[in-house]
Amino acid sequence: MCLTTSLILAEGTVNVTVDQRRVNEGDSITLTVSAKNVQNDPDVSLPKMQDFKVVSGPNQSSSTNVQFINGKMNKNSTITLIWTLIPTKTGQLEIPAMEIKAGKQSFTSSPISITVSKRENNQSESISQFFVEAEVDNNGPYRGEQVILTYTLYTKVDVTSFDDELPRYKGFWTEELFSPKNLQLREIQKNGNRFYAATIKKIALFPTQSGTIIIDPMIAVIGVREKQQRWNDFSLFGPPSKKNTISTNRLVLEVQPLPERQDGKISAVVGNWNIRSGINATNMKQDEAVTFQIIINGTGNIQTVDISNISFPNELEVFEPEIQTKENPLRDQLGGEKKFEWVLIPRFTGDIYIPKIQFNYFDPKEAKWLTKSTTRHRLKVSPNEKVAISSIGLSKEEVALVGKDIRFIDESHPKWRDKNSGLVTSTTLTFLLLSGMVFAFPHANNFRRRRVEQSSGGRQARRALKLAFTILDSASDTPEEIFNHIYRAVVSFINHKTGSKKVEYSTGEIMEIIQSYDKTEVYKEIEQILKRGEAVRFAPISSQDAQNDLLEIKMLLEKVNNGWS
Amino acid sequence: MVGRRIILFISIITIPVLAVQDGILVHYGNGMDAYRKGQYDLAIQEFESILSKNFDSQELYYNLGNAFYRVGNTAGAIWAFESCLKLSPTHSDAKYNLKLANLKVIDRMDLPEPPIYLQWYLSIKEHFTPSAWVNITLFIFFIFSIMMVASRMTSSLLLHNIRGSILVVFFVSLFLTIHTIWTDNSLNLGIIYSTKVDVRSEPNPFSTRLFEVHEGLRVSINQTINEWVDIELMDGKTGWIENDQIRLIR
Repeated sequence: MCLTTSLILAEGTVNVTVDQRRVNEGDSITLTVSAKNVQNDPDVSLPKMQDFKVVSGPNQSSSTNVQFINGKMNKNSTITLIWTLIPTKTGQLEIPAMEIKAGKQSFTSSPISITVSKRENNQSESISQFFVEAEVDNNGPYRGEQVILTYTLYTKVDVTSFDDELPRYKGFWTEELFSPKNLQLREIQKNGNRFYAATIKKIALFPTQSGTIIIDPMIAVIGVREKQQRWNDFSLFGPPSKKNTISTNRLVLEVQPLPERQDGKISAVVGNWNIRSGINATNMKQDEAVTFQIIINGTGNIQTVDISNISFPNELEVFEPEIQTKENPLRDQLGGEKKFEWVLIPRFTGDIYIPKIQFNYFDPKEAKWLTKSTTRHRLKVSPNEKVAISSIGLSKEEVALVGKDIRFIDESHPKWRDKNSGLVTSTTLTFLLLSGMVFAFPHANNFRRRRVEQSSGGRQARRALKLAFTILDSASDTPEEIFNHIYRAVVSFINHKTGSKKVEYSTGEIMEIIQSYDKTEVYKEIEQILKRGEAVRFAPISSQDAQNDLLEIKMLLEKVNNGWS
Repeated sequence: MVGRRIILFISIITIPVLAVQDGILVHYGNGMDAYRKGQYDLAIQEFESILSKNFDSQELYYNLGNAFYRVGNTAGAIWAFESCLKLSPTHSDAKYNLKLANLKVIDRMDLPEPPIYLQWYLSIKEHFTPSAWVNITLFIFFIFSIMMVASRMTSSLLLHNIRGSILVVFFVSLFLTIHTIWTDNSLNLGIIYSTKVDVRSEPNPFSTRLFEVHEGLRVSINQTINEWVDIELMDGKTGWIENDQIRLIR
């Protein structure tokens, strides 16, 4: 153990130590803070370490030792905090100063320098007894190209257990190729030294981006049997072993972008591939199914291989393809075979050609884009008598449409419609209204005419008395003239009242009309006056009496007018 | 003062309507531009946003159908062209494009052709929408009422005969109108929207699988219960599918 820093406190001591100050790349070091005879647990704030990765800790333990010397009791207590650190790079590294609080006192330790050597530069005295190495088969792959990452354990000692913690492989699509349950050791020479080696893991990496990508180290906890101690045959727990934390080296890949394609075709498939096709029959009847296969095999990321969107001729009804992937059983490199199988039903008779199917990919070995294609298949489809009776194929009209394109969009201004609107529109209401108006027009016209006539008659009737008085007032002084005006006034009165246009009435007719409309008894007096008027030509009457009759008839007509119904 | 109040009232009523119309025009313009640039997914998005605002037009459905067709969405294209033809049964471009889209439908069903007289009748009936039939019938009634008034006023024998003929045409048109409205209300159609759909005997996922249908197939809808739709195929087969596997033609 390498004592680095010792801090003397009032009650006790605090030591900061590391187990070794010269290590090889990938080896771990143990950082220990032990506080002896302190009342409180030491509070250690680990500084930010750029050169080291903390893989475990702090693991805290305490021990107390009580001794009686000459009747006096001596009590020693120790609290220990342990971290396991792995250097992230080689060279002269430094564990920064640490802040340690014990009780009320606070102390700062000195920085500890650690020398980390590259494994290739190892001298014989500093050779690691065991280490894990990560290596890739290609440090400068193309984007999407397969890179095999292999982790190998090299050991000179007996390994009892091995637990690994893989990094996240950011920037890669990964697939594990090899991961043995038991270590299969083989003897090899490494840097002039003999080791037992075992492949721990083999992983296929496919860079998903171009540029510099770093693969972080894998951390492993390895159990190593301790040589110094003999295994007690009576032990229940087997041979003793010590757990050690180690890590692999960090890898840096320079991923090259895929070169631009001149033909504009786009593909994400990288690797080395072959394509072939097959069909189970080339002579068949209409509406009989055939199976068409395309098989692509090779090495690379088989998951990116996809040709399911093939444009088959419209004469064929195409069902969804069945896709089977068979990965390489040897698993040295990811790859395998992908089979696409379509069921095709020819709906037309005659020769139908399945065109060449092209498969584009980038071959990293040749560093160029390649296109491989299948052969063209000709299907000879003969008529099917059964189908002719009840065909579910395309009609003649539909056949004429095969291969045509849709018509262009409608550029006219849309007539927007509220989807919630019903059947009744403004046009509907307009027609309804117009029809009603036209229908009602004759009736309305008749009604209006009657109303006009009625109103005209009423006005005439109201004017009847006035007109009759005008006639009476225009009479001269002679009795014949007076009675003549009386007769004309009565006739005018009746005509205006009834709407009639007769010129002459007999006295009887006049009395009959007046009697039917007037319920008073004045018609008798009117009759007497009219009769005197008839007799005036034969029996002369004085002018005074005629004037009296004139005044009386005015009064009588007024009474009749008032009682007219 | 009264005039100002009237203007304010009209503004309150019309401004929200005009604002909605403006939004629709913006979406429609964006959709048309996207289509012309070949950005069919964006065009679909813009056109669908208009439909979500409860506005439509035959031009919108037609152009939406074209966009669906261009992105390879057969079911969407058929649905849009069918919707266009529901609004405008004589839209020749929509009929043509619908035939092209139907070529891609896997499930093909041909029924025996009806008698010629029935074909004539159906072709006349389906030539117009229910709303157009209502207007046609009312127009004929309007002409009839004019002829009736004219014949009463002139007592012409020719006008009397024409009036009788128009009355016959009116009743035929009335019958077609009633039949069209009845058909429109009773027959609900939809388009299968999922690539492959299992049709089941009962409205639950554990019932017997009867048969399968594929995207783009036009089916009629008998009833809907919760999340399930009872569909009927042209050949009379019926069964239940989930309602997110079908898009109704409204």
